[in-house]
Amino acid sequence: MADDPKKTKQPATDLPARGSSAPPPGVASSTHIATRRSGSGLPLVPPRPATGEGIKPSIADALRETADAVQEAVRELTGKTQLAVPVAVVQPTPAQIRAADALSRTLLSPRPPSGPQGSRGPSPPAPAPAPGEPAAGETKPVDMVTLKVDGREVSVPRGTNVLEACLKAGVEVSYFCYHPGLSSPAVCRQCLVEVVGQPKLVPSCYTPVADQMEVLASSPRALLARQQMLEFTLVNHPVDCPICDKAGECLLQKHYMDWDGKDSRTDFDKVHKPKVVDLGPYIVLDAERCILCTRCIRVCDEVAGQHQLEMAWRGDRQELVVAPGQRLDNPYSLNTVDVCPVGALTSKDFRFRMRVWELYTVDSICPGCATGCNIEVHHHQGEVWRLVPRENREVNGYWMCDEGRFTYKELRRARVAGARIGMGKGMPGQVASIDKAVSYAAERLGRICDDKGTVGLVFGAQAQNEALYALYKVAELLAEQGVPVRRYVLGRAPRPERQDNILRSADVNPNTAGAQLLAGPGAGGLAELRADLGAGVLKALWMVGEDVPIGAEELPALLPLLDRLQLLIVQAVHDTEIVRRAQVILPAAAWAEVDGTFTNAKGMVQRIRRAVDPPGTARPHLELVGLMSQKLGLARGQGWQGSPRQAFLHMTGAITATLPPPDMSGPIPAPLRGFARAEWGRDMPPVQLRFANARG
Amino acid sequence: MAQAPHAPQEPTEGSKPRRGRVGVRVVGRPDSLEQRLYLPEVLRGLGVTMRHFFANVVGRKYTVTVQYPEEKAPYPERFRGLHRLMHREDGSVRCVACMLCPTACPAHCITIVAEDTGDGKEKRPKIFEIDELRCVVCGLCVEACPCDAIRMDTGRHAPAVVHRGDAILGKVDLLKLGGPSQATQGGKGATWREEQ
Amino acid sequence: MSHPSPPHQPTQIVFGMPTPAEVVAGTALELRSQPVPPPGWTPPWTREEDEEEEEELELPTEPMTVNMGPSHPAMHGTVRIVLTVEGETVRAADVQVGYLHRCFEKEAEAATWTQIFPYTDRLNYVSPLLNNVGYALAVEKLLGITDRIPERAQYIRVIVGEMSRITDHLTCLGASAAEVGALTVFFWMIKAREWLWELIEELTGARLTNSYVRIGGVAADLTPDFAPRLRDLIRRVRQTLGEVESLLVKNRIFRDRMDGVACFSPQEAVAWGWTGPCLRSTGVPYDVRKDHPYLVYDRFDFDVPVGSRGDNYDRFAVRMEEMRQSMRILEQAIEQIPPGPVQIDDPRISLPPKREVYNTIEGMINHFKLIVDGIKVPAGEVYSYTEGGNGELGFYIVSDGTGRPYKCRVRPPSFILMQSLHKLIVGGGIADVIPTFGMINMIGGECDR
Repeated sequence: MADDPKKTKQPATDLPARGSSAPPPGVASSTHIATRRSGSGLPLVPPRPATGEGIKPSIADALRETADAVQEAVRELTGKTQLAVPVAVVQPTPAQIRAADALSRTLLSPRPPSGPQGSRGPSPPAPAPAPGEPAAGETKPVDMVTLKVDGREVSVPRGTNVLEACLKAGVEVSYFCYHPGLSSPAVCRQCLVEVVGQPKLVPSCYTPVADQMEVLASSPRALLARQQMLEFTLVNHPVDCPICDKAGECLLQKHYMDWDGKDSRTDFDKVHKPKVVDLGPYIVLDAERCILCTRCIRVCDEVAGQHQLEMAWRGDRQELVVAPGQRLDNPYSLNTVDVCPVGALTSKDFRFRMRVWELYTVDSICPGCATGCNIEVHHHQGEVWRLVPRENREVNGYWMCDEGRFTYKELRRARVAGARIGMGKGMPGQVASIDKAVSYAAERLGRICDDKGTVGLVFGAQAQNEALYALYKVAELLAEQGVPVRRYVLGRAPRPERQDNILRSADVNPNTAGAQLLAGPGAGGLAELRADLGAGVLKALWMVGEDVPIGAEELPALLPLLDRLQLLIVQAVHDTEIVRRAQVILPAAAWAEVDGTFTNAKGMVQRIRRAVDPPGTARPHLELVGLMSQKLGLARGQGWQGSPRQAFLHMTGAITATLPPPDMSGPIPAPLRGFARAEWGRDMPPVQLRFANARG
Repeated sequence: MAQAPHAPQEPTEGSKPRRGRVGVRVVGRPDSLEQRLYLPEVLRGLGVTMRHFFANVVGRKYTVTVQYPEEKAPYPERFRGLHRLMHREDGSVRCVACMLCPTACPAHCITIVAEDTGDGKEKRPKIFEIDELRCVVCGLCVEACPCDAIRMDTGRHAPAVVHRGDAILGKVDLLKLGGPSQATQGGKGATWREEQ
Repeated sequence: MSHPSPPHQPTQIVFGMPTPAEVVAGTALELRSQPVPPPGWTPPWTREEDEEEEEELELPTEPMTVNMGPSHPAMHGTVRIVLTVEGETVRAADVQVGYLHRCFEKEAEAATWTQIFPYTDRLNYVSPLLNNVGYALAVEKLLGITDRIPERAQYIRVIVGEMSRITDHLTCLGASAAEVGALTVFFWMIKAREWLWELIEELTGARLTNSYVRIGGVAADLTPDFAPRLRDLIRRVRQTLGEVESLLVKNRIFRDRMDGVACFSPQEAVAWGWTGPCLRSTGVPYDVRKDHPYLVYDRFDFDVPVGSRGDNYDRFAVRMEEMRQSMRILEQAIEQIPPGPVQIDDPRISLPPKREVYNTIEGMINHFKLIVDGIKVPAGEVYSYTEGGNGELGFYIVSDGTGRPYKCRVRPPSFILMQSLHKLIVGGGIADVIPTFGMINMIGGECDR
């Protein structure tokens, strides 16, 4: 599987693409005015040439090379950071130098083998070559083949198919059954091209390239053949566009407009097939609309690894059916809806609810688990309507799990929409403005700090890196004042049954790695928090994120412990029992409502973007932490807490400043490497899908 | 204007149009003794208005006004007025909530919420509202409808309302204005050509 | 009282950046600087009674600031003029536009190419069809289909465009006449305008906000009895114009208010970017229809009326004559119009017939994609200009290849005219401000967009 030349969004890294023998794709080259969304493919890693051409005799050498690569990246990045950050921030104050020292000690000290939650430790150190990838693939120089497509010369690795070569050469070819993430069975015959010297037209998705091959993808003969294939496909296609959920991003519609545009010539009845077939918990099949491309079958077979769909009958009676004794219920089943070129498979969740072309798209990261699948958030009129996967071969390929798709529903479930001040301990609080609540919280917290009472800070694994970094700065400044500070990393309870080797991770928090890195090595987990609460050490607790890794049955045991605190401040997204114990409740914006970054389990720092407005007066975690630290007198004139971008630059600058000198050998923690390479990326104005020019 | 500039012509009254690439005619500037004397021309003008006056009094020759509430000027056939929703044979709404009309509407005056018809196969509008105050009467929704469901041929203009909310026509109001549509529809292939 | 025309010497008028030759010759500045009035010509308000006035004006006057507008009844449109007056004389004027700003250009960036037609209706809202045509021509130029528009559609565009030009001038002149006291004229001209609008309504379905033109043609063919009705209409409008002329042209009250008021020289007019009837009133026979013919304008025999002095009367007379010329074009067009389709035969541009949409998947897909994605205009940029009611109406559009414009900029004629309005009214009397402004014929919708 070679790179899809249309979407060379992910720039080069030293991690080879999954299942790819090709060199990493180059930098996205499209700077044409047409690509309004050119900022969409946010390179989270600065593009740079691939390193490591030579043979790697040992793992140690590989690691050394990786370290060098990191240094190179850091040098690049620090240079950039200094340009972007105002001088006042760049010039390190003594406090910052101390902070950097502390952070570097934190980061470089050996870390405990298992995380405080006991679920996932820090990521395996320095996975320089991907574990499953044979080193031989790297060592052998890639065998390139040069061929001509419509007179344009193009070089592709041997084994690439002609369709990919055509696309790489910038020659559009229509196709239905081909998908860059799946195998090619050449069933649709929509990608026929002419190859000089061959008597018949060949399906380009099934024909491997050969040296000096001459492909005529746009010859009249090939175009006519493709038009005729399309006409065949349309013969039995129902006139369903008005009620079809795919209309607007339908490949059939797109190909008809791009390649055909002819009138109908048929005057007989269409073949009728079952219209509403329940295939599984999430999916409905309309067999009439199916164009028999078998993409969905291959998704089940190749992505989910479960054979759940099959073709039955033949000819124009051919029909998609579930395999005997099966239902379409694998955890990746909704990918079949995405890959379906027409509206045959539709999601029950999305069916009839919204038209796709009305939706606005924003690139983001799935908050469902630590994998951090790249997604597009599709929203309209302030509501998120669906999440769809976005291509990133390093993380999720083209896919995401069903569970992740439904995380958007949490955005409108039991949200904390306004600040409250109260007695805590489960008693209803009083509605207050955010300013008032923050002032009150800061005043009481300040009093506890003055008395040198122990303050606990909870780094929520659902919160964004920027907010947690701001909290880290608070912790540091409090410690500077002599206030005893204890740090904890909390998140949602792990679900080991989710763990598979595809995409789903047992850790259901999107930012565990980031939270652990920013909380530092001394940070505890729930056990430590419980012990400290039980011992009565803590006087105040400030939680950024309300999640705790226990279920409802264990919660009653924890709540009385929280009541022993003098002050509990919770920046809460959802209303839970814990939140109701707090004296000060600050409403926080959820993941789809903020700009920021998450660090996934591999340590990749990935950008999330604001799609919709938060409910009520909810504000981003970062802003709330910034307000609190201002009121506490800890901000010291630093304005970076006000802007997620500034906070990000500040954070990456501070972290990269702590990186080891070039001669340092040994593993570098993955999250650290992620931070060193992270980029904020460009701002993306919301684009309606019908004008996005990318889908359907 | 890239051409050589044109000099103003010698202003002579009623000069003949200049032939050539550009036929230029210099407008006249009548200047006469009668005009300077003021009264003759004013009286002549009064004569014109008086002619109109008496012609109107006697035969309403030049009258173009109508006595509006009692008399109404008819609207032409193509007049775009209030919207209406067409019916199927069984009287149900033809609209299948495909949302092309809100998509085509430049004023965003149409709100549709779709629902299942019950068998899961078809859609229909649960809510179909048109804000006639927002509507700019451009007719793009009619052009966009793929089901002959929405039309603007009621021959009625948007009425005056007391409250803004009254100008929002719901599905029921629109259906009341509508009538059965004879358009054949749905996968007939090219057979409709013979039906014609 | 009319004055003898100043003996104008044809002067070279120069546009754009100075050429090296001009710079070397030292004439670059001179050619573009404020034009020198013709020898022996003095502003009319300083003539004759100069000495008497100075004797009469014994009382000292001090400058006073007067606000004109921006409410519509006070002005001809929603515009505000802050006048500094000394007695009756305007000493300074600050013209402020923008009260009818509707974000046309920004709105256009979020709409498909077709959806912009209703927006263009509201640019110059007394001649919406001219805007429709101008915009359609711009998009067609970018699409590269200008030559493929069916002839019948081109003729229809000319017909509706010229009808709109007549309504535009009728409105302008009628209102201006009313402003100098000739209310009857206003009623008669509005009556004639109403006839035209009635016919336009029969054709397009709306009197004012027609949205009749489409990319690649027009929305519907002419009605069956259009030609005879139009001929009858032209006869009646001609009659009305004759009557109006008999009331105004030799009427000394009207002439005294118009003659020699707000004169503008051709050099000045060109330097300020004037176009349309206002430019022609100064004697420059520039008409886009003649100089850069579009549609089928090169097939018609018509004249470009020009004025001689560039005063309000010339602007009035040029518009009167232009209506007559428009009617000449209409008569020729209705004779010449060939039968045939009115929409281009291209599935990527024009919607398929409704019966195809209802019954075939091909038609349905075609229809759907055109409505949802819009017409895909190839990436690029183009400036296209037509003769609007008030002058050169230009559309500068940029496409990024999607179904909506990346940028849709309008060059509205009245906005350009408005920037020199202060030159016209300073030095004149307060009472001349409104007729002058009326003759500039600012249309708020077009000027502010």
